[in-house]
Amino acid sequence: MGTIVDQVEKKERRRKLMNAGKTITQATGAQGGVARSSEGGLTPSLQAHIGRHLRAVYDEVAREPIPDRLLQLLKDLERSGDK
Amino acid sequence: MRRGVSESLRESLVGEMTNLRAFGVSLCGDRERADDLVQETLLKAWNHLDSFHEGTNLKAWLFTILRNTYFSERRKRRREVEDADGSYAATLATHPEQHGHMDMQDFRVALTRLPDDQREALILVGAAGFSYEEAAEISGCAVGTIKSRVNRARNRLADILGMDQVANTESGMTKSA
Repeated sequence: MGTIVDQVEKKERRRKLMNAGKTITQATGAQGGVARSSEGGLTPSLQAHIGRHLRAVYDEVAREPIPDRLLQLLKDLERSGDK
Repeated sequence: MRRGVSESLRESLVGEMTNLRAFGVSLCGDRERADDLVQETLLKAWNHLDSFHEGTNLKAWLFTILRNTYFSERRKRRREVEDADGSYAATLATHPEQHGHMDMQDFRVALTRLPDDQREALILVGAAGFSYEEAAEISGCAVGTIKSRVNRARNRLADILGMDQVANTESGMTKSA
């Protein structure tokens, strides 16, 4: 008996836990220093911020066409392999 | 002496070149030098293709060659040139008038100020899409080491960029760069 009640209680407990987590993040984020989570790492939003910049730097180069001298090198390598 | 490189392997090689360049540039911060690194990586890879097992991770194999090349050159260079880092960071820090790019430019400079091993770990995991395990294999260290390097790199970047002031970036970031 009481399974539905149990489930509701569990859900409520989980919700409270999650909210508590959020509050911690927000609180540390608002402090003077760099925002760190309770474990001493950066907050998820800061990590995401860094991740976005990092990928932008990387992807910018990855989207560029391959320079001629590298393509030429590949051709030369192949030619030398043919003989 | 080398012949009969399979068509698919050749295509994969070409396909990984854009990634290799992106890794090289992010690692050393300089396109010209990065292309030298890619060139050397290609040569080495080509000459050792028989040690590569088709079907295994070509990208990881190439990245390993490139980073090994970079780090061994770096060790040599450190003995020869003293302020390679400082002068490089300085050239990057020019053009603050490009307002829209200020943020990215700051980030690039901050990236170059990380210790090599931390920057490498962060790029492998955070941009190149490798798992911690793969990154550990590429760098030749333990998974835990990679994890802690990535953490330290993030923390350091946040400190350098003064990310507690993201809200009022303008003045704060310009000064810190």
